[in-house]
Amino acid sequence: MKLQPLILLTVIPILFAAPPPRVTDKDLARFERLVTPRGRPDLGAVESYEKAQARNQATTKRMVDFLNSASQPTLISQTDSPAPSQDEIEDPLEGLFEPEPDTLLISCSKGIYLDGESYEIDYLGEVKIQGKGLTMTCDKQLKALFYPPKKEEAAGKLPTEQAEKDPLAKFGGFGDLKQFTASGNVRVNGKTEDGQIVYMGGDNALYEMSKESDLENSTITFRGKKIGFMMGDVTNKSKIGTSYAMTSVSNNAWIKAVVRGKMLFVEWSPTGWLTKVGFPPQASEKK
Amino acid sequence: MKLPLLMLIFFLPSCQKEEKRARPPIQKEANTEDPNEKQKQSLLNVPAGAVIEDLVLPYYNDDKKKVSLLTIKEVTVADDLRSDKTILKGENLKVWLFDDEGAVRSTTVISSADYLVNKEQLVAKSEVLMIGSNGKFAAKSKGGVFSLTSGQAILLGPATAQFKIPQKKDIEAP
Repeated sequence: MKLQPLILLTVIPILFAAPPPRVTDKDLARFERLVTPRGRPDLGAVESYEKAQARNQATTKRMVDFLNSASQPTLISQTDSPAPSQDEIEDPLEGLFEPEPDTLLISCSKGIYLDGESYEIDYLGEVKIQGKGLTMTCDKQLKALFYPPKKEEAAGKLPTEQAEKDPLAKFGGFGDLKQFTASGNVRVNGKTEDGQIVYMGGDNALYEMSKESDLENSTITFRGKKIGFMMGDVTNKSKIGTSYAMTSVSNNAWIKAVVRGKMLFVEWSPTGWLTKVGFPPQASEKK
Repeated sequence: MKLPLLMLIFFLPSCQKEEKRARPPIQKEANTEDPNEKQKQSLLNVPAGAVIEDLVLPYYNDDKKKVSLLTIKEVTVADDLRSDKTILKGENLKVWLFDDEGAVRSTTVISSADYLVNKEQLVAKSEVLMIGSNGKFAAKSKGGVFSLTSGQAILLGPATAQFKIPQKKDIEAP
């Protein structure tokens, strides 16, 4: 008796019943592509932050000497009263200090320090910056650094003869704003173009503005203990999009946010973070 | 025994001379005053209550570059009873601060302030308005202290400042 036809008859149903393979080569290739570690774009967070710190230390001594001679030695050390709100300040020059689209408005409780030797301005005490859709606060000190003024601009304002006669002809000014360094409970709040809340917080921060002709960038770097970052509102259950919040558990964490036009790019130190992700509520199934 | 006595008699007058010689340098030190201090004192050789109009005080550094320029529309000489020193009470003041290359960095308008001659400092207890010379910076406060010799200033809080910054330009995502 020939058994071969019988074996074929038993195998054919098995072949029909076998499910198609669940993971294809294409799926495996996609998985490999997704899990392969990618080269991290280096935004230079640590380098620029440390450079700013070193510059600040160098100029602090001169400011302290001056404050002592001006009988204001406690401006840096003494505890401070809450920051004044804009409404409390009488303004005889109405309109000059109103927020405008192309301005940054800074209010501080203790004072503003300027030095002819450097292109820097120090804001002491509780400081609040408003502008460009962001609000930044800190409760210790804010230091603004400027680019040196352009020589050709200064020289080209007046004719040579007039410039020689006029002792104030060489108007230099402060140049364009280069960076802020903020210390003491720094908080940055803002909103993205699609209305998502953006929050960053930490002990120290560096806010830099690039000086490129065709693109205006700004970057915010936080470094140190207890850094926080939130995109969207993870506490809001009725939110539409995905939100997430991060807090650092490392003492040497850093986070850097780059604003390019209306886009926001964020990079953070590789380890030492607790992350909470909030997903939007699932749409109710159609009956 | 005679020899030491003789030596003592010989040396004693010379020691006394040394003492006498030691005094004049002290007197000389008192006489040699810093010319700048002398100029400051000469400014104060006017009685309290005197009024000076349109006072201009330029300050230069060691390299003869401008550090600051103070103009006061009206100055009244007054005695400060607390410190027993003469101060100049100014009204309608302007302070120009220069950078290290002698270019004007900021102009400050003050309605009234005290000029401390010895310290060469201007102490304002009224509204202070500072404008950056390129028009991109402005600050105001309720008072301030200006060191005219070093070009340093502190605007006392609460203070507000404003910067003009370039507009952002939109770009596409990379």
